[in-house]
Amino acid sequence: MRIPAVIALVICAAAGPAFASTDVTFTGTVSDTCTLAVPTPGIMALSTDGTILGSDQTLGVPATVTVLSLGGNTLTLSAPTLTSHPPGYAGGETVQMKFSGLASQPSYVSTQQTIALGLIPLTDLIVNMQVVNANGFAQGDYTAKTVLTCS
Amino acid sequence: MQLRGLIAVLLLAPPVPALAACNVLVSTSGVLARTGDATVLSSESGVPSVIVISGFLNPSISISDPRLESWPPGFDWTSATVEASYQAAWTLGSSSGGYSSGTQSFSAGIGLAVTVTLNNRVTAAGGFRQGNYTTKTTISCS
Repeated sequence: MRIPAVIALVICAAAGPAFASTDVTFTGTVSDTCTLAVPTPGIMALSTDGTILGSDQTLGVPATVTVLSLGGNTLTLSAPTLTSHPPGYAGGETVQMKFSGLASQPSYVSTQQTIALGLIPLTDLIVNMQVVNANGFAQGDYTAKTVLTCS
Repeated sequence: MQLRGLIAVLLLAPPVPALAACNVLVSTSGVLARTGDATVLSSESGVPSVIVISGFLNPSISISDPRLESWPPGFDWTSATVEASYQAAWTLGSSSGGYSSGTQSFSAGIGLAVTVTLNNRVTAAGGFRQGNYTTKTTISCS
């Protein structure tokens, strides 16, 4: 009886599992791959005919935005708007922007713009803004802006 | 006599598959993290995976090609390269394999357990979009 038991033990051992596998998972989260900075706000100046207040007019200064992208991001410039004006200003203006440097929009536009970003080191985007009003401008301070979003 | 003969045959027979049987006893998940190079996401910057496999007689261990299982919308996964490397150690020996996007395998020597440290990395020349990334590698033994 002891010998058959040994045989049975050997046979059972031979029928054991001979293969195993498992999946190993790696996970990673990437965040903060885009940074924006505005080292130079823009300054708008009045055109000689008095109908354009623009950063590319004489004595005007374009805004410079520094962009750092570590991945496939999208930079969005919202439609430019006039955010402040002096009392008594009648309105009726058109606000426009154009940009160069990191990407180029050579002619003035009033609509939202998007720029596809890849892997780029610190790079400048130069933004020009202008407010056009055929009726001219009342004396005072004007502010126009576009909101830049990187995602 | 017949029984003795049968026992002798069983004892003289070459090792049967069961003697090389193996099991994956432990496996930990890895963590990918960005490296100094923004084009590489690697567990060497995060946490490698550790797998412990039981085996007695020269278990053959295979590490499949690593796959990118998930990525954030908009990421160009077709431009990404996924690779795995390993370091394995057992009682009287060791084995290692550099980064490869293909299957790698090795035979471990006699021992009770084989410990495999596995790294994965993803390389994307265009960098990575914000979001979560998952890679998967299958380890098999026989």
